Amino acid sequence: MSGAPPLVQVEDIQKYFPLTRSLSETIRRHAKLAIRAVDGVSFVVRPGETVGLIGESGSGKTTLGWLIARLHEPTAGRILFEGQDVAHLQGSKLRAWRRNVQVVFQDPVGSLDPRMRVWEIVSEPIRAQESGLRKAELRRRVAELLPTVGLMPEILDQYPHEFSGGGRQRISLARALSLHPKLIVLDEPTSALDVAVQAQILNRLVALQSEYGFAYLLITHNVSAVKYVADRVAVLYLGKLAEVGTVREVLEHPTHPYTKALMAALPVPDVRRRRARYRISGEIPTLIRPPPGCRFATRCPFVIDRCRVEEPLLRSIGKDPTHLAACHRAEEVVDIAPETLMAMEGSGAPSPIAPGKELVGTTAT
Amino acid sequence: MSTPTLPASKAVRAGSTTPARPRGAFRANVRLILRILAANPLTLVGFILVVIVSVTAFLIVAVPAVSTLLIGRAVSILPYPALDTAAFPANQAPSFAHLLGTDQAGTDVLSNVMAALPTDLGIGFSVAGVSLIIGGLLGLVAGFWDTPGTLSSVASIGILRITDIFLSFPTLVLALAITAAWGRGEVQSELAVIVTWWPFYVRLTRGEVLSIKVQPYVIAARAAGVSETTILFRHVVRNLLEPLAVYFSLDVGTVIVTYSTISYVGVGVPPSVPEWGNLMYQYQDLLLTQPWTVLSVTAAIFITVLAFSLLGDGLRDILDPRSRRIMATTTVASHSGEGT
Repeated sequence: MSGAPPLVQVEDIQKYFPLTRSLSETIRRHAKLAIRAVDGVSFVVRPGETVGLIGESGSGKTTLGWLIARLHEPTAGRILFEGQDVAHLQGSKLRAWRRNVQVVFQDPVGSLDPRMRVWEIVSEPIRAQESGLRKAELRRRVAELLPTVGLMPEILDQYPHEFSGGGRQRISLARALSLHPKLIVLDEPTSALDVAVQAQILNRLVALQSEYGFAYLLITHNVSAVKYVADRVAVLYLGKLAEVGTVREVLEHPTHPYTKALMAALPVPDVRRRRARYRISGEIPTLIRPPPGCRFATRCPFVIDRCRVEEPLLRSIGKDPTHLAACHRAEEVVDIAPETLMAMEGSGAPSPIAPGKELVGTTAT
Repeated sequence: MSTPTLPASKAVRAGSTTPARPRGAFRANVRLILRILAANPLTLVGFILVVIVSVTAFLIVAVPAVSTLLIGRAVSILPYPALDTAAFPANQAPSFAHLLGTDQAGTDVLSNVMAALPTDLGIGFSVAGVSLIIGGLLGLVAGFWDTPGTLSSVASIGILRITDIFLSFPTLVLALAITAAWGRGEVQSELAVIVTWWPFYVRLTRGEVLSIKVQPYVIAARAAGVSETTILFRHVVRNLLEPLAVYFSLDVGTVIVTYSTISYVGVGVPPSVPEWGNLMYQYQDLLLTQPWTVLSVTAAIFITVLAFSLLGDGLRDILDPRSRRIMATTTVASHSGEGT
């Protein structure tokens, strides 16, 4: 798969959200501050593949997804879509380009207009891209579309509130499919759903992909979902990539300490370990003034002086040349299993990393 | 989630025939509204009162006009001509001839109170309506185009600051000033109320727009390639109508009370025009001796304001598709197609 030309190629992309300064700060000439939500990320999505994007809340994964769907304009960097730079498209050109990339949002309640009927919601992208279609034609196309996401055509005239969370997410999915896009950005599509429905939706996604061949960018903090659905995975930490590679390589042989911590956070049926996971070591650095050097240095159990000064770059680790990690000590760390980290904590060594509680809570698929 | 079971998504069953919109949808909607009204007795009372008050006001104005056109003679549904001084003996208690008695000037109180109805209702609707249009449009602009750093955001800030200035005017003092400048009259006094009234609609509309425009469904529409103008009308305005309609209905009553106060103080309509505030002023000394006079006027104001308030509260349930479900769960068959 690595030989195919990329569908999306993101090059050193940045998104800073400027903070407003108070009047006194402006007078005293404080530096203009910004939240560095995404700070220099590069990766590719190839046609027909699924890339998982994982990370804690606040790691910038949703911002990155929204950048690729051009719901944000990047502060710097390029987004090449089939070779064309779409980073700064505007107006009607941008709207016309949007038929290529569609988004399924996290919130199944809020992402459907409560005053619109199902057929109006699902046909909205079609109406935006193709003018002059009659109502009957739109309804026919929506009715054909609904069974592909597991909904009955009879629901055309119902309102979103008449559906459960899973049903609404299917409507959302039908809307994203309506234009046959080349890439669908799935922004935590299952985190608001219960476990059984999550599995249904994920199965449906896999089936749709094998039928229509579009690429997915799956943004989630559900590692199990990524393991199940994705071909490749990118781990994001504080707006930077920590590790990229195939799912098998990254999730089974993590080399970056942060990825290792994520793996350690997966539920294990052991009471003693469970308690250990909830310990948070060190402060979570802010995205406003990220630490110099490695961003994970403040929480990393393997930190050395070099990490606090010199920023590690993504580099190839191990046998697979596509497996990249941004860690100075990746080679030394690679053989230490997450279980060892837990043991280290018990012995009073520098406390190992424990990601936020939510990681534990949401990996129950 | 152990083994990925790929469902055969080719199982597209019978997707070719489009289900038609159920026939008689309009009738079903009417039935639904009636059901909601029946479930909310107070809304029903408000609805009936608003219908009675509005129809009466319409007939009071329309019947003389139409009869003049048809038979060349004005026929009024009022029992007697309003404010017809010394037509009857003064200060009579209620009787069959004069259901609400007569006042100190010898006019029929019921006729006066009824004749004031179209005036006050018209003032309520026109003041609230003009404020709704001005304030709604300005609020829409100020709320939707407020991205910092753009030219339109300057306009947005300008609108808000001007709104703040007008919000600080006391209605009564402004009405006095306008009357002093332009003389006493219905248009002048209505203008005085409108000047202080529209800022509330700007605030309300802007707040609603600010909350609607960051809703995920608006972002979803943008991601689908829908233009900003279409988003404005299809999503923002459509979701604005319900809170505005509710506020408007409640507001008609408030305007009537405020305007009556202005008239009572003597800067509203001229004394020759039947209007509840005017009548209150004329009858205020009769409270202990002929209470039916002043109490009739009070009751008229009370009933009208109550009617619109009750209706406004229930309007939310009628306009919001989400609450329709709660009100009429039995009518909605739910087949959301769960299960892959």
